[in-house]
Amino acid sequence: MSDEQWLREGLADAVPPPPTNPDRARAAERLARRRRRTTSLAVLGTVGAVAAVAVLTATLTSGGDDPDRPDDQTAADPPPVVECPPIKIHDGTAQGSAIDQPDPDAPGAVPEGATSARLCQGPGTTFEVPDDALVTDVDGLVAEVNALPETGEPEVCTMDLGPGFRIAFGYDDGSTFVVSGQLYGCRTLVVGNGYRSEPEAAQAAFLARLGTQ
Amino acid sequence: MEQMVVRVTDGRSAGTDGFDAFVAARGDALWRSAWLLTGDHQLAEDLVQTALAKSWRAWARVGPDSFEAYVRRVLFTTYISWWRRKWRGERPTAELPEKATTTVDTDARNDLVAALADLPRGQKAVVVLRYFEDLTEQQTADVLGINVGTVKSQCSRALTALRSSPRLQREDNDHE
Repeated sequence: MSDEQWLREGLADAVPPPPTNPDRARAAERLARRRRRTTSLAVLGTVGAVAAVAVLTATLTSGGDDPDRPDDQTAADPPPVVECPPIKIHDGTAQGSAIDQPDPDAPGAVPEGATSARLCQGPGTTFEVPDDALVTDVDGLVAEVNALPETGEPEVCTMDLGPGFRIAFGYDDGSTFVVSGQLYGCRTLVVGNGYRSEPEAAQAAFLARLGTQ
Repeated sequence: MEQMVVRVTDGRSAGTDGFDAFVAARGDALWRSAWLLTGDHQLAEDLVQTALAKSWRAWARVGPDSFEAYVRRVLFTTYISWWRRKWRGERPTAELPEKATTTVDTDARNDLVAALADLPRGQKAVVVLRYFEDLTEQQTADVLGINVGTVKSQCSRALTALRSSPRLQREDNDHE
């Protein structure tokens, strides 16, 4: 018997009979309704007043907390494995955009709760980006990025050019959050509304986790 | 004999009825995969219900033909990406299954399942999808959002680890 056949038969034999649970669908429905409320409260508590305004605005524009709305965008989003944001490349150099600059309306840290992350091309020279998204220990990556030292707007930058990267974080509701690092020049990592130092540490943190995934 | 079918809607939509029917038909199958991932009756139920809760709103858009694949993807990615943070103590389910869940799981966890529990989460998910759900490498890659090469390497590592597991070596010796 091959290893694969042995494994198939062994797994099939090992599983116990499921418990009877006629209320499974109802319980899932109730959990879905609770999750939405809980998630909103967690976001409010985490990112503060600026994000609170954004959440309330989003709630108002989506028509409130009626989970049965057919046009609910949360419902329409597929289970997210985040994709890289598009970037233009000319003559071997990737061009930056607004996504690579601080956004005064964004929080100053990567929001918690990311479920996937991708290392992507950022402005600068190109490099080979990994094919796979990170889906394990994403919260650890978030924590590591958020632990990098905050800095002000860079004042001294060298005139060299090197690789730039982005890390795109994906969330259950389909939203994304992108940080942008320069491994040259000002050597900064743009996170939300500000800058952090040691961008190479963020990239290394991603690659280390991807290597053990 | 002519049968009269009385549909009790209780104010609920046809979409919700379809979701209920899906859960009734496929919930146990999802639970079996969840049990292999978690090795625990109640955690498996929590995982299934969390996946169903995340997928519930998508029923109308995804439709019955594709919904199982959709839920399966949510279940496995939820297990992989949220396990460490979400499932150590928090039990999101308010309703307990009818059957008591105090079953001694170690009785059902044979040596193979115990060895499976030692694998990293990513490898374990690949093994369950490939060898329990019988998905192809491409389908497994699609569920987990990884490429086929990664599925192959994860499978290879998992099989190597299982082969060399002392638990399974001991089992082999017992049968010799």
